[in-house]
Amino acid sequence: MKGFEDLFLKWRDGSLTDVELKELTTLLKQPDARRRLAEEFSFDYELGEAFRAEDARRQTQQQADSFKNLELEQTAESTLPAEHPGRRSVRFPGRHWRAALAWAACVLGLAIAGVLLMPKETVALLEQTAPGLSIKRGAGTVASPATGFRLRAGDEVLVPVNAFAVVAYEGEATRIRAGGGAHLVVEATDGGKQLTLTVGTLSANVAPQPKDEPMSITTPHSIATVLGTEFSLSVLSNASRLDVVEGSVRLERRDDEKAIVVPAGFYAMTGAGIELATRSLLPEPWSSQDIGLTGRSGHAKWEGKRCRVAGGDQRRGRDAFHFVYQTLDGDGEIRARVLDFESKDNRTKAGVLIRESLKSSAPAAFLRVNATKGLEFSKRQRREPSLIELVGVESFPYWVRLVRYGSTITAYKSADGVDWVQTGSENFELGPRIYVGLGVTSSEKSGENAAVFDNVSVIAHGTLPE
Amino acid sequence: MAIAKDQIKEVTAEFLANRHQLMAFIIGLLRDPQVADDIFQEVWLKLAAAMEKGIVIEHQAKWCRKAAKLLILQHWRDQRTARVFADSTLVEFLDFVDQAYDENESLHSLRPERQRALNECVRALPEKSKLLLALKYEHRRSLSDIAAQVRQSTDAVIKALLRLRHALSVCVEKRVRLQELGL
Repeated sequence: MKGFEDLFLKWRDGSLTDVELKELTTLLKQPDARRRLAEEFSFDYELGEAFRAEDARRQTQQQADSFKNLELEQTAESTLPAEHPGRRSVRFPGRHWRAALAWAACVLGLAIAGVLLMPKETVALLEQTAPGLSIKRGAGTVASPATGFRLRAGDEVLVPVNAFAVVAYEGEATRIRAGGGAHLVVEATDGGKQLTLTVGTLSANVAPQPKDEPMSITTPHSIATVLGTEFSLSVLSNASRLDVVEGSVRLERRDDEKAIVVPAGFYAMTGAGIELATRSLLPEPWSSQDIGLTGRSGHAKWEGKRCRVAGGDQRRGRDAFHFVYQTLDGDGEIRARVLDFESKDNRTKAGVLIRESLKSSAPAAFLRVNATKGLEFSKRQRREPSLIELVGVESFPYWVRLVRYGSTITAYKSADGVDWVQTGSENFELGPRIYVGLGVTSSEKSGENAAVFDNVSVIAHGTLPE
Repeated sequence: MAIAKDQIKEVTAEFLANRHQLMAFIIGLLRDPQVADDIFQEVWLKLAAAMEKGIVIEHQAKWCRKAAKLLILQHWRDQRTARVFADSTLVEFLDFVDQAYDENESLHSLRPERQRALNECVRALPEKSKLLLALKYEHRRSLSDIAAQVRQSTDAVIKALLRLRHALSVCVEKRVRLQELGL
């Protein structure tokens, strides 16, 4: 029988035979062997981590060195006299025809390789552009690139304020939406897709990536590594913030390489003096989920007193939207101000809701802003289609309010949040517990619509209906 | 059933405190960092789902290991291609590894100062030794591959690796002790 050390080394090597595995298992019946195994596992892991740290240190050093060399080269070039054009020509005397032939073949080969490799230089495409957007490539700048512009490794996308750009990767559904003022660098895709966000905000919908080639996004403070999920990343002046909508993302702090896994519905921040921890995107007692079959998942987050809700597309006229909600027992109301939409077409809607349940067919009242039409009051009774009534055409922001009193739900609108005007009323079959909250939906064309709300309040009147 | 914000914070903090130990367990069994990372994230998602359902978990580290164990078994079953182990032996082995962690929890808290010391010890190694260790622990190459690359016999590589591990272990203990003494 072999010793523990040999067997363990073979296990680690992946070269253990069935018989040897049995031998190792027999040895592990002894407490000492088990203790040793736990020690070896930990030490292996620590060694792996040590090499990861060493590798990161080496890379940082190499980067620093290359910057230093670049500076030296630039200094040297600036002091050299301009070359005479004639000195650059290559001459092949008659007796060196073989060398000339080889040189020509080499040039031809390089040219062919260049042509063949040219399309591969494209890393991603600019799927949506905006006026004022520019791409910095090397020393040059491409102003106002057209939709479909092919982005190469090293290209810098500069998004103007109050605009956004969408970067797409060919052959997959991955989309990166860079927000206003963002500076996004598209990096080479060796070992996985890579981006650098030096300033601004982006939201990402990442299709599943190969296991050994995760996508990574680097900010000045962190590295977010992801295999396929939906999240947003913002670079603030002294910190970076990662909000995870779906799946989970590994976030590494660049200062000390400390990393955490941020799951869906949570966010984490990196920066000087900020604890690296996961925090919930929605404060208690709010929850959020998609209602019905949305084409894409919605998400929501609270930023101070504002709530940003993004909803997927509404399909086939059924309820399909993102709902940020809380339960309310008995009579009560919800009021909010809809500040604005991020995309506007005739199916993007946002407003306040009261529902009997979270089922897509539940009786519900939805007082909402339709981006192109104005204020709508939508009502649906059990097993009946929705009835939609246009109740006002005003400009943003819209103040909206729904009040439940017994079996009646009344809708109100206001210009200032103080004086309320009744816009509709309907009787519903409702239980004592209802769901109140904010709803946002969008069209398939815009993909995702985000609306921003503030002054959101839920007031319980403290009386249970009979 | 929704749970309190403080409770989520507490559970998350405990998970983060034990994550190295959990990762060492998973990676030790799988030997593939990418797959290990996937399973680690799956465990976290399962824990988050349990939190959402209001399930009370008394011993989180143990619970996470059990969840990881099931996922690892599933992975092995999915991956059974060239190397086929008798299921019962593999399950028994897995149980023993789990037991090893149960019995030696205090021993393997994977403290940050220990990791720092190890990083320093690795940095101080001669380049040749560093390369050998990197091939094994960073690039996860097999012993025979390493032997071919460094032009030595597999036995010589095994001996060298064992010697280096021992030297590093001594170096870490020494540095940690010095740190504790404030030197």
